Amino acid sequence: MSAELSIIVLAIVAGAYMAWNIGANDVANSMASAVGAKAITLRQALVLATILTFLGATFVGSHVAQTIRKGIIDSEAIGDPRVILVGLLSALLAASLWVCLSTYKNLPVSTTHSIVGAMIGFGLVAGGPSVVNWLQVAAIVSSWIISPLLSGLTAFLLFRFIDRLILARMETVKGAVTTAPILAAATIFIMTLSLFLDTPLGKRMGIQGAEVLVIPGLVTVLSYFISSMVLRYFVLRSKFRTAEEIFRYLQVMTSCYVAFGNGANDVANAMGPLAGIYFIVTQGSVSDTAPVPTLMLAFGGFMICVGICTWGYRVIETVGSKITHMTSIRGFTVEFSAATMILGASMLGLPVSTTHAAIGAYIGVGLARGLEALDLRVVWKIMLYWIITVPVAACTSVIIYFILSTIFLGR
Amino acid sequence: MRIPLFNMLRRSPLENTLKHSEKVAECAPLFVKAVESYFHGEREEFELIKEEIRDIEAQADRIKRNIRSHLPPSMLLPFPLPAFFAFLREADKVVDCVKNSLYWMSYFNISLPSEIQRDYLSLVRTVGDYLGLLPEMVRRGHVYFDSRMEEDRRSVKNIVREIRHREKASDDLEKTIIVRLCATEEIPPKTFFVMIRLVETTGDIADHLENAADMMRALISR
Repeated sequence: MSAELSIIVLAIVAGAYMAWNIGANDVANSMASAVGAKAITLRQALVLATILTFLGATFVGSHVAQTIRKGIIDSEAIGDPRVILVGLLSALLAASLWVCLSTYKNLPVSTTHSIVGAMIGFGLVAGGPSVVNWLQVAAIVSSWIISPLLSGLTAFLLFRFIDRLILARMETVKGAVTTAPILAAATIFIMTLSLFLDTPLGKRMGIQGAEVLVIPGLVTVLSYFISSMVLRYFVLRSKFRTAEEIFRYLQVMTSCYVAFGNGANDVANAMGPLAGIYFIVTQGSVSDTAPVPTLMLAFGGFMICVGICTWGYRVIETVGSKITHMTSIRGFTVEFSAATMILGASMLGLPVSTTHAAIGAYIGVGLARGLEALDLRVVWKIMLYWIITVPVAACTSVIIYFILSTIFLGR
Repeated sequence: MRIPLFNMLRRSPLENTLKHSEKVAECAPLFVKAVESYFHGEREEFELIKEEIRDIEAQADRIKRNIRSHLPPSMLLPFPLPAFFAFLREADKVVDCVKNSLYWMSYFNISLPSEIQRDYLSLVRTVGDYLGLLPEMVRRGHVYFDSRMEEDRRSVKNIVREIRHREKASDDLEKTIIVRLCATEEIPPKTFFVMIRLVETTGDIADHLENAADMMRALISR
């Protein structure tokens, strides 16, 4: 077997493992609260998560993935395509190993930050500190504080808003009739805006600048009136007894959106470096961006789905039945806040993680006295893992790079 | 297996608090039965029930310690932790007072005029009925903290009011017995002393339950 073929095989295995991890953990998280709140059954959650993740990964996942994620290192400064080839593989393997270890330790780490840390490690040994984009590193460090803080603040305010306008009333349904359509419209706005903002779909439709707000704006207004009318119709026929029943539908919407978004965004973490390796092997040159064949995205999507169906269902089942009782209102608040923050940060170009945003949102709801009990010691432990993700992935990447360069580059 | 985000979510401490309050309420019928046996001269039966209540008190104590030791300050709860501990302390004192009442009775054979005996039995029955409200209050509190709905909060407030109302009734009975004890000249000093302590301790059951209800009211404040 030639060296290039061995590298491609290894890269496929590492990329597949990374995608599997995304499915097993991150996507499962998106559906677990909906199952916990009994808004949907476990089977429905699995079907929805599998379909939406696959669709998100294959059709909205970036077709031109950044091979060097988030432009963290300057590939031109390194020059030699063979070094970058081995470096990309080292980064992918190091990130996979780190995600694997944190999976074993029951702690959520960001797959994006793992791959970024691994890239830094490889960049440092291959080209020295000058090839690393330290501004981007600073942005990542700031995101450890910014993403949980902003999503926490959003969740806190949203829960207080729902608490004051809906839950504090004797007849919660009456409060929900006026408030829920606003929240439904806001959810739809976030969902449609993220479909067009900086996505292949938006580019294909030639949407630029402020134009991106037109379709989501129209859909939002329309959805407000439709949801308002539908809600009033059902309330008049006494279909709902409490606001919680209304929020079930909103929660399923946000859960679906998070699953779709995970497929669309995170597939690049697994397939981006793989596409880069494939590009170097086939073209013999380096590029900051490389076309990702639809088949590769579909493979990434498929592996995420395998992750959902093999381990994801256990995560959903455990959370849904054993860990805690999540109401739909809390689940909706957490998911809506995390999704809003992710979208806002994307617009500002900040590299934020869904996991970080979700944890911030849980703390926000907890501070608004919305959760029955939240253990902050676990939160600190999780945060410690976020911080060490980048240096550990970087160090692992360096070790793997030295081993692989001895094998493949004879150094 | 990895359960990432949800590792930080814990079960509500009210789940175990409900178990504690059920233990407290378990003493109510036994307490009434023990006092009845005592005044019917069935000392063996009384001693057996007293020991049973002592066991229940020990179990309730274990549950209370378990709740306290699993609630570090790093736990984010929908209510202030000191107020919750105060609630738990008051609820636990209820069962302590039940046990102590029986202990006062067991020190020597109390012989009372029939009307005082009848009044004391009436106080014990009133307090016994009243203990059943504790688990119900905790159950409703748990429902409220799960749903956060005003309707459920009102339901907790109703039971808090009911407990206050009942405490007043038992307080009146307690005062009546003390007045009778003071007015009856033929009661020996030792019996008088023990009866005063006994009536006060029995009255304390209602007082601590009312305190627990007040703390619950503080826990559910918006």
